[in-house]
Amino acid sequence: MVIILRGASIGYRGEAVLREVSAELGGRVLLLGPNGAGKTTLMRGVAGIADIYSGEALVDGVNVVSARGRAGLLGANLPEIYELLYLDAYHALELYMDLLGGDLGYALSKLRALGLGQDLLRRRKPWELSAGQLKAFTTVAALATGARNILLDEPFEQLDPAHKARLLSMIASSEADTVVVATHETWLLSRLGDWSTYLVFDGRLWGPVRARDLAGSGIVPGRASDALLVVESKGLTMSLVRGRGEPVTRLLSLDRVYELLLSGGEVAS
Amino acid sequence: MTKYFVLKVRSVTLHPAVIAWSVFFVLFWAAMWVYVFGSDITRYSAMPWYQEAVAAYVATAFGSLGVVAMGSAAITLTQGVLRGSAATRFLTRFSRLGPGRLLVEDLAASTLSLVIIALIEIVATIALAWQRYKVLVEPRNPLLLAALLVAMGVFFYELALVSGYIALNTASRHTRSILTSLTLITSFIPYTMLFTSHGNLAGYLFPPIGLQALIVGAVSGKTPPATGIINWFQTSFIKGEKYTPIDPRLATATTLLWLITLALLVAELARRTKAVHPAELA
Repeated sequence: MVIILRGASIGYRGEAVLREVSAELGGRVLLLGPNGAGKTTLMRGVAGIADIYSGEALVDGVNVVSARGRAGLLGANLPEIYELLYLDAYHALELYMDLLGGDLGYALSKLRALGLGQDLLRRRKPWELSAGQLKAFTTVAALATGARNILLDEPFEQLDPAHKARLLSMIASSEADTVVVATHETWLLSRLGDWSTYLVFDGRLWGPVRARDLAGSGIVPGRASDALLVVESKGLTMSLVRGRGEPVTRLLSLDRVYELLLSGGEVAS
Repeated sequence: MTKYFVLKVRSVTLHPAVIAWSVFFVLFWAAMWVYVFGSDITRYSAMPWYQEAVAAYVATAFGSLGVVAMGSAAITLTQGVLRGSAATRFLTRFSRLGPGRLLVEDLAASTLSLVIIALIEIVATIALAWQRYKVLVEPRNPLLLAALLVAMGVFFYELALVSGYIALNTASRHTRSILTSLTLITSFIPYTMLFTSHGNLAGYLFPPIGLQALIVGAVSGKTPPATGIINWFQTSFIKGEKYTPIDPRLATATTLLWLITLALLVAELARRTKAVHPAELA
């Protein structure tokens, strides 16, 4: 059970954001990259929302372009897929659990644990929730579908630390065959040490490496002979090496990688 | 009934814009028809044709206002196409709501929603007329009335989808704004035709005009011309002057042709349309 990208170029309105990407995303996978790198576009392509101009994206062997009525194959927390009808969040959840074959009771109990009780869900439309609440709502909905493959785009964004910890525990205990989490937050590397990690820069993927290896590595400009990974992006080359360089986790967010490289290896903390 | 069907009906009929503009605003105009424009009808209460005249007048009121209510409510369907394009692409692929099931359930739920909105208008207008004229207007042919309302609902549903899909593919905000309101703009065309006479051809060329006339006929028992119905009411209905009524068979045939053409257009546009993130449309 795996998500396969074969030479996939994915984008919008005729413009490819990801170019000829090939990867096998199976088990537990982190996509780590700065904002605008193409993580969300990759997920939208696999979810059938963004256009695939060349190559293909397969979910458990099913081409996403020709997939029809395949409940249980894929769940995702992309907020735009929860805007089918003008409904309050409770009825939207009820509808999606029905259509995707999910567990409404599970979803409600997990949302309650994240501070989203039924009263609130019945009062607000999904797009009327705060940014953090919407992330929690869509992420729990995706997990509750019980789909074999789950895509979670920036699930921790704008959540407070306590809710981040609870949501992380829910994601870690998911029984899905494949869970792919896209994020720009490096703190996850130490918490999800066994996860297979791809770096995403400028519409391309590098990896995989274990999250714990990445957590213990640093970034140095140029091409290092002992590199775990060498990444080329926007005309800059960087190597991820064990035990030296600017620690990946110290960057907090990979948005600061370009700042690091342009400054020749020094980054303001 | 499926969850999607029930919640789609709920999402349209309980939409705040629909309640405000398709129900209460149109009810205001129904009250105007009864209490202001038609206030002097009671002068003829002693005439033998009084009850028939009230029925025809009330049918003209709710026939035209029902079309406006449907056209106004259909805006939410157009907006649904815009906001829900990404959701539709995902769900048709990865949920039980495949394209075929979505098509059938969405058509049925949307049409029912529009018919419910029109029925609210009809019942309210009948109640207002009963209060003002002391005549209970009962449709002569309720089955035909129901069929005409469904046909009108399907027409506006298909028009809403065509507008929505074209709006999705246009980059201009102004064009998109007009397309979003196209069903409402369209619904005022038959309303204007009540007051001006352009012959029956207009009723064959454009279904809402023809269907409006047929609704008046289904309620009053007398088929009016396609256009100039107010004039028909004052001259032919009351004074017995001769006129040429709309041909129901020809109007039905051209309406069916429109519905089939629009359905094919919807299918083709749906096939070609890409998902657009709602934020891109703001």
